[in-house]
Amino acid sequence: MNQETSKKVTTRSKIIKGSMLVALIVAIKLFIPRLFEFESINSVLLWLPLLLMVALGELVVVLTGGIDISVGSILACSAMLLGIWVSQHPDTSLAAMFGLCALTGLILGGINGALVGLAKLPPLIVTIGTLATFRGLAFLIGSGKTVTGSMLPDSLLSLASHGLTLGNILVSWLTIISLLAAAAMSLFLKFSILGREIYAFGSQPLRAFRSGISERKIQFMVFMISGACAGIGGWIYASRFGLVHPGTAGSGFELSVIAAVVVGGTKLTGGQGSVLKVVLSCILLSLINVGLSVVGIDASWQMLVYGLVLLIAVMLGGKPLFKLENLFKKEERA
Amino acid sequence: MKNRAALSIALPIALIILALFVGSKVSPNFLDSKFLMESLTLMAEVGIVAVAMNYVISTGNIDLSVGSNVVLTACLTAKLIQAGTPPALGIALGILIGTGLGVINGILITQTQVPSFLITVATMAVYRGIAQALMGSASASIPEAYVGIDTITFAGLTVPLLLLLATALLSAFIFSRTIFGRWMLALGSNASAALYSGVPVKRVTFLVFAITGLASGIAAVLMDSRLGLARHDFAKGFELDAITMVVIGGTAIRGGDSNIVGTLLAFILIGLLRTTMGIANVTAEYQLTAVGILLIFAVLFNRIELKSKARKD
Repeated sequence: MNQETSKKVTTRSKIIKGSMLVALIVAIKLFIPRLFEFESINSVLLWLPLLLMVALGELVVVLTGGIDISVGSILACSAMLLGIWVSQHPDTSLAAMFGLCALTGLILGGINGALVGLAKLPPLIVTIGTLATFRGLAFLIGSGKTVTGSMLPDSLLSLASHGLTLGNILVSWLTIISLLAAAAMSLFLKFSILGREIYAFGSQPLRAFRSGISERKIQFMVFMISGACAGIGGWIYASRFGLVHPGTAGSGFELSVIAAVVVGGTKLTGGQGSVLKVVLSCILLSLINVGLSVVGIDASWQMLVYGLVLLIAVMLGGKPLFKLENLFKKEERA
Repeated sequence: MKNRAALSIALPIALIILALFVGSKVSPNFLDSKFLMESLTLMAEVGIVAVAMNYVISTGNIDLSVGSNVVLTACLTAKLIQAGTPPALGIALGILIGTGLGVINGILITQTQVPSFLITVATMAVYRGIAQALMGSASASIPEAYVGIDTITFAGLTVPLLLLLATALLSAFIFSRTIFGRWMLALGSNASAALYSGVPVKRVTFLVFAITGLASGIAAVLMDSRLGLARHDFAKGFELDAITMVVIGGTAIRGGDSNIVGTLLAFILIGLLRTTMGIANVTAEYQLTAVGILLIFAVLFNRIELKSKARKD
């Protein structure tokens, strides 16, 4: 694909996506005016931080053309470990809790990274395996127990309910932290050497290899980053819900996260995608989530709606980008 | 090539012997042929889907939606039979529904050219989402006349196991003796070479997804008949089991290869493993974990084996 057509394609898809977003917001405004009331905006801001935090990590993996299915289970492990730890050491500081969760995620992500980067196994299969493995680990950490709100310190729980208020809108500390993380991630991807290498590797693995970029390092690092983000997601989860069940915490969350990355226009073969678009798509998905409950649609429909959103996003993203040639390009990488 | 095939079968056989040994330690009644057959019958549905998964994986694709397909088909079939559809027609419709869902996957993948794992991740959510929206938290029970196919035996084997064996035999024949089999392997080992040498890439891709759909339909009908009811949260981790069976069986995950005998052996292995863990009161979550670890080790093992083979050549 030459420069010009690719530019045309991206402008076209930008126009399509932009007009879809506008159409959606107008439709929501017309049909569900309640969604624009303050309470609804507040509930959107409740959904946003968790999804955004984990999606940032997933974005980095997808930028290299990989995928991480295990994020939901890493989140569960980190949230469980946090709960068990603070119930025994109640005087732990918030920063230490944050560090504990990030470190847990980093280590578990490192296992993924080692299997993908060093042992050269396909990311999909590895993370399907660790999805199940880490889920069991979450049970093992708390020996099957559930972490309840009384085990968690108030300082952690108040992060979700306190923050800056703009009129009637509450921007919780969690939202601020996740937005700061997004800004940091954006700077990292744009200006750090590793960030540039991730883009280079994702768009042209072979050329990146020839210009001296280590495939092992890149793959190892992106899974560590994704793990760390999912680990911090566990910290947010514990704060937001105040309840961590090892079986349900983050179960099926990978679907929402992948949907957020895909709806954000990230190219699934790697090399294209931006943090800003992922932030926007996370807001959009949170809006859909809140919209469903505002209209009074039963929670059992939620999975179907998410699945359809994901399917449509995957297909729309696929049309101009995935030609048969791209399918063959993967051969080079293998 | 011979060596590699022998090696890939040796691993599951060794593990089966180990599983039998451990199982007999856990329970003295473990090594009873009737008990073993009953416990393997519980897994026969996964086995049938695993054999079909060989088709998809041999072409370098993957189908993650099989579990959701089974659940949706099982729920729809149960509803149909509840509504008074005669059993024979209900079974036929169930298999048709499963195939239809596979056909949808096939159409989406061949028409959009999006990697199969993405489309099937999405349809995994969609199919289970439909089942969930359809059933809510209720379960559909199935009339007596239709229940109990897993207790009927022919020639010493239960019907689900016989079906699994028939599927495996047919698949082994297709892979080794038909043009379609050659096409699948060609597509899986080098897609561009296959395209340029005249393999109908789209048609083959479409067909392999229709085949896993067909197998999922059969599995769903069997599951309905075995359990006597259907719920939206059944068949969780189904795809993990099926993919693990294929990988332990020695089929290369990158495509271009199939190993039906290995898959059958891996089916026996995982069946034994789950039975042993069930007897030892290991909860479902830890069972899943064990299968997940097994999957990772199996891909690692395949990888190392492939490497050592490359060094020899």
